Amino acid sequence: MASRANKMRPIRRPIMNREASEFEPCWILLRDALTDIHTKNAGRLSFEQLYRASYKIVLRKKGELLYDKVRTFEEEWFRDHIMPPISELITNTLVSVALFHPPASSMHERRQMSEKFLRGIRDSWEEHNMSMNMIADILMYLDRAYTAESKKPSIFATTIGLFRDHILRNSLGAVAQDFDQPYIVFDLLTAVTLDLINMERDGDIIDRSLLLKITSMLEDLYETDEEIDNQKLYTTIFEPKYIDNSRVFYRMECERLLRESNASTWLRHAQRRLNEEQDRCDTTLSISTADKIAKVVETELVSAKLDEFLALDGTGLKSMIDNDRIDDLTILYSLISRVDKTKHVLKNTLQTRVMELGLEIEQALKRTDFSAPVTVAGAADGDEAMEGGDKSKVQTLSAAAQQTAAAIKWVDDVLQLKDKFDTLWSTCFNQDLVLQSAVTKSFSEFINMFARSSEYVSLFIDDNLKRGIKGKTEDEVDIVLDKAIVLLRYLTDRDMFERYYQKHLARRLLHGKSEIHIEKEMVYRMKSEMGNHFTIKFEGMFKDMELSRDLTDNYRDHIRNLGDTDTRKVDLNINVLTTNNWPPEVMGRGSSQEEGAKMECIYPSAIKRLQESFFKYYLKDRSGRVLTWVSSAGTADIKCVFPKIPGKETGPLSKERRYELNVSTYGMIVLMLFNDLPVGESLGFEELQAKTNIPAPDLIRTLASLSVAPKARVLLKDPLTKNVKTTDKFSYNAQFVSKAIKIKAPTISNLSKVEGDDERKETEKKNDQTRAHVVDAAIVRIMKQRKQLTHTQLITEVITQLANRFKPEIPLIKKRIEDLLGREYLERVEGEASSYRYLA
Amino acid sequence: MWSSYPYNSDGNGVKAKDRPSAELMNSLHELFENGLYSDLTIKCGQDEYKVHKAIVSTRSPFFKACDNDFFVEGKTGVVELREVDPVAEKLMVHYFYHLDYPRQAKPVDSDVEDTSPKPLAPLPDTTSTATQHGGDLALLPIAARSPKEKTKMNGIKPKPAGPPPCTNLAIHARLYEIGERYGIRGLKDLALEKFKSDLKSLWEPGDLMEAIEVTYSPDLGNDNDNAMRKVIVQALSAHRDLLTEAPVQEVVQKFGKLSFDLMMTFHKGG
Repeated sequence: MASRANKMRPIRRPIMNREASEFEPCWILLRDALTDIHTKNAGRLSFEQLYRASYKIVLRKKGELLYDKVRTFEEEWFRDHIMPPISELITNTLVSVALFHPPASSMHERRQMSEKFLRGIRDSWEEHNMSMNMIADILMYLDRAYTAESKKPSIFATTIGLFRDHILRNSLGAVAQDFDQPYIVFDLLTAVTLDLINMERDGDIIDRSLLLKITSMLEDLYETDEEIDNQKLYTTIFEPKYIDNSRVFYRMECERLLRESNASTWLRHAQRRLNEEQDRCDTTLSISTADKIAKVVETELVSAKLDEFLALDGTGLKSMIDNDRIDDLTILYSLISRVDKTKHVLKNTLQTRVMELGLEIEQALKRTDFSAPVTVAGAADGDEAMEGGDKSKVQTLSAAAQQTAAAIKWVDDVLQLKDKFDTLWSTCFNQDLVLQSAVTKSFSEFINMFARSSEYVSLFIDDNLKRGIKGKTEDEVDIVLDKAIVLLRYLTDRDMFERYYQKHLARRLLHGKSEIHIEKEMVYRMKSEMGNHFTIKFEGMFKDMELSRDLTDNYRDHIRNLGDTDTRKVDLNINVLTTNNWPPEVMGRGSSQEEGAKMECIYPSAIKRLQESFFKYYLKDRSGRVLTWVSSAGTADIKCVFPKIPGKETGPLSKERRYELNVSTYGMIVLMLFNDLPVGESLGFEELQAKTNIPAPDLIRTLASLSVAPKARVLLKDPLTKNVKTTDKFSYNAQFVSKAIKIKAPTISNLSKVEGDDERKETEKKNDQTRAHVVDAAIVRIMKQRKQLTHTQLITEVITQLANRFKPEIPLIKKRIEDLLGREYLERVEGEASSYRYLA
Repeated sequence: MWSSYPYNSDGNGVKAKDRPSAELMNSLHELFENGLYSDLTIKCGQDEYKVHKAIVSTRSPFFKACDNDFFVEGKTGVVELREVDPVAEKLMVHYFYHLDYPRQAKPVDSDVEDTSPKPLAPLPDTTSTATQHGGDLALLPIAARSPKEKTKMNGIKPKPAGPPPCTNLAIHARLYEIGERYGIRGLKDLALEKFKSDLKSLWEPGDLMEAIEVTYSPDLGNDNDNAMRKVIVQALSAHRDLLTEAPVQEVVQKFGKLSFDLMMTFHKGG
């Protein structure tokens, strides 16, 4: 250390000198390397050596100098070697074609020119990018130690940014002097790229990988050398322009489609465009654009004219639904799901359609003439088949049968409609819950708007259990039962349904019209659907039937053991029915029959003895019970003998004829009277009534069945009219002939048939009475538990409690509250407006 | 052959839960030993190490950038490191495969020749330092050294008797530098930690002087990287009596930056 003498200057100076002298050789080494890298003169460069050189320079604190020198070198290189070829690419023609689309330019020509320009940009970018990466590697330590410390952009950012500053942001040069706007190369690049993309949208084939290179370049370049994350040129410049351009493109396309095309084409087109744009982002642009461009397509091509397209005649939504255009609806659903989470339009139209079609079913019922026998299958074919149907095969049905047919048709149509929408829902609407509940609501609405829905549903079940089930496989039965349950779900007035079902079920059970295990299955399903309380009565009915069967058997054994020798042997088959489980009509308690119910009719002595014998037997073990004979509900099989008619030697009348006649209990009572009547004598209506005490309406029906219908005309009526009048006289028909041995006298006014208007009013009235009691019970239950409630709270609670059975009307609840106040179950709370308190 | 190595795969002394990592460490050790699957050679002077890009290039941006066909290194698969201490270089490679490097025995000659306060003799020039450690490497587990041998700081010199002292401060400083040079952060941290811990237990002034030489020399020391210098200045300021020693004074004088750092430390009341 020679510097020891001079203390102020010593140590640093020699070092400084050494640093300065060391910089130059290192820099020369590096500069040559940069040139080699640019000229691709590989082979002699050692990375370690170059790295060491830059490392050394940084250690010597010459980082800034190196940084600036590299920058200057690159700027010069860029100016001398990169920019000239690019300038050459920018020709007058290219600029005017790309920026102003002169009409003369052919698309092919345009594409050629555009791609040539982009290729030039791509090549020089790739070269620049590669060189800059290598240079940044060599100068890695500079970046790490110096650049980061001095808060400057990295060497790479600075040098790569040259491309942005000196190419993309360069003005178009001499070429652009003719234009009034200061266009830069970037404008040209964007215009050319967008033009190519639009060409591809129009079906042209373009060089996708070239475009991808260009957009990747824009993703690698930032607005500034600081390289702020969201400041990529792709994001700041290109993407917005791309989005704007696409918006214009799709807006025009959508308008053209609306003018020239139909909804079906539009749907497919929109879907295809969405896929294309997704694909374009994957292969040509950037994934980051996918959502934004999808939004553009959704807005411009789907949402913009959605209502117009859906309203189109013949291809719009209504027509899609009506014609089950599965594909269209599937696409529509997927598109609407994209643009509107509430699926408002689809939901509303579906609801409207359900309502309209539902009401149409009702209208069709009114238009349809059910006097022609209509098979269920025929009804299912829809209105056209019905209206244009062959009515010439006249076998006019009774009014009741017509009503049944109407009920069956109505239910079938509703189920068919439901099937239709279910299919749409599961195949097209991805089992969308919103749509499901909307459609269900509409179904429920129109079904409940139809006043006879409860009755018709019960009739439908009745018909199927009675007629349909036999001979059907288990699966088919299952389907029918399921359908019935589906309909049941829609009904709000379930108490009405319960009433009808009870009536129909009673009829089926007492007449052995259906198979008990299927009946039970049906009731079991109702139970799981509606809850226990709903089926208590039905189950009680089943139980009564079972107990009665045992009882009958036991009673027969009992009689046999007694050795009763009744010459006119009567076989008794008895059903003991618990009053509450069975419908009042069956029990002879119907209000219309109240008069008659009080009167016991007069039974023939043989029957009377039998009754007494059974009473005795029954009450032996069950003292205290009251048994009432329901004469209106029973039937009797009567063995009749018609003796040979004297004088007739040929034909059926020449022999003695034995028939087994099935009549109602009343019929039996009436016929027994004629047993004791001398031949040739007749009995008048009033006489008959006096002797039997059968209520007049029932007697009329009974006599009509025995004297009017040809197949069971065992009585002769005078005069021979079709209707039974109270002045008619009846006599034994000795000349009765029938081909069948077993004859069933036709039952007039089957309880199972559809009600007439009067009857229905009656039923509703009864139902309302029941409802009043149910509401009473609900109010008391609620108040007992809550002690005190406001009026509104109470109403809400009642509605909630009863929702499963029926929808009580507010005035009814109010009335019941008043009533309960009057009966001092409740009292008003003083001082508080409209509050009630429970009185224990 | 590796039974002497702590990462034993025979299971003895290795808890079951540690076995997976022992297995990995063992396999790395094996790759280090036999150069199987090697795809890169690191040369340093006479030494050659068969290494793996997967292990080396992923840890150091320098080695990663080397792997480019444009450069000689990428073409030949040989990276020759110049102006690097071969011992430090060897330990760096060792670190790549073991996440650690072993303590080095002091070259025998430096201790045998002279028993006087030799450690504080003027340090050789950096260029010659490179050859000084060309000797054998001994794998000496750190745990074997008892804390009793801790050198008192108040100027008492360690006794030359017994096994030669293995004071490694300069080695740590070199590895710290090499970590900085090639961008191996883990190695830098490790070397610094070892340096600090040796300062507490095992060192001698001569070695510290050599470490200063490495850290403050304009060829190796780095003004942008202060962590190691800070530790050194703290050590000197904690043992100011060292400053009375002529060799120390000479070193301090030699590096204006060290003088400045010391002054600032004292100024702050250190």
